[in-house]
Amino acid sequence: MMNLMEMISVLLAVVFFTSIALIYNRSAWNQRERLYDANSFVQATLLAHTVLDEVDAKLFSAQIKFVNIKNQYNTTRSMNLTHVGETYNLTITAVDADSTGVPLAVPDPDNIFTKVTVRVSASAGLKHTVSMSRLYTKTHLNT
Amino acid sequence: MSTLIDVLGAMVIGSMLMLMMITFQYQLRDTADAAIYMTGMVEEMQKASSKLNSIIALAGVGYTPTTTVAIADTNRLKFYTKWDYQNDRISSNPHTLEIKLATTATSLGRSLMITQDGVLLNDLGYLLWVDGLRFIYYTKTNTLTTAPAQVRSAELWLTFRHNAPKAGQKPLRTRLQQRCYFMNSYLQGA
Repeated sequence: MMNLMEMISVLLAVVFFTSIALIYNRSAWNQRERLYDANSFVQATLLAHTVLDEVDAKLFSAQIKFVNIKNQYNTTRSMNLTHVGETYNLTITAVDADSTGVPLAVPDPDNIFTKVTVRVSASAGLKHTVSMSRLYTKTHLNT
Repeated sequence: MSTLIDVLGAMVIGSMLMLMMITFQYQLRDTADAAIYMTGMVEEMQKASSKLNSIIALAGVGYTPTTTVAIADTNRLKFYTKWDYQNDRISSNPHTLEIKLATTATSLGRSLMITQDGVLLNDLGYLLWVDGLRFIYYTKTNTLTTAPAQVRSAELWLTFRHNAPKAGQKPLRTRLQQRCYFMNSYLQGA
């Protein structure tokens, strides 16, 4: 029969080894999550680029005018990527900005810069929201 | 007798714990190996996607939007342009550029073949580990099409494959989905 000291020693050993097991398990899990996150990060940047390229393409072809960027690109999109097997959520914002991309505190009717920002999040994989911005300039081609 | 049982019991438990620790060590090493392999692969994914996007953006230089694309298949894209990708400058001569996947696979995956006038471009040999490529085409108004004259953007479904760090294990696979706009066509009003 075990005495009290032996029982306590056994309990301590169990706690000790369980802690080590959990730490190892967590480390392995963290590494796998980072791999998943890295892959999702690349996909998220591509989605953000796609939206920003779409704005460029529509401005180039006069499908939208510069003044309409804010109307059409203050929105959200849910992108279900069949090939990748994930759904990404995009929050798109368009604001008047100065030439360095800083949003204007006071609206300026003669402003010629609009900053579009795309924030991409995912229900799984992506640990942090990916955010990308592009500054669009008013020209005689897009007015 | 009881002492012997105690010692034997302790040895069994100790062995199990040691075995568990060794197993964890191996698992951790495997994951670390996969992480190292994946880091290179993620870099390749970024390179491949940005290169493909920049190539497609310059399609149709010197051509009207309706005459830019020659072949719009699900497994290959061929277009006309007066941009000389080999020398990275505008050219007076017309060129055809084709993007498709090699039919044969190597240990580094299947090569992504980007040819100008039937000759492989020199500076694209670093697009490795691509294992699958599929094109889906869209019109100016964002509807699906298979007609070359109506193509204004293409969605690329890319699959990358890298051999596993340890022999006998399943290869590492990742997937990307990206949309590339024929910017030159849009510049001409699409």
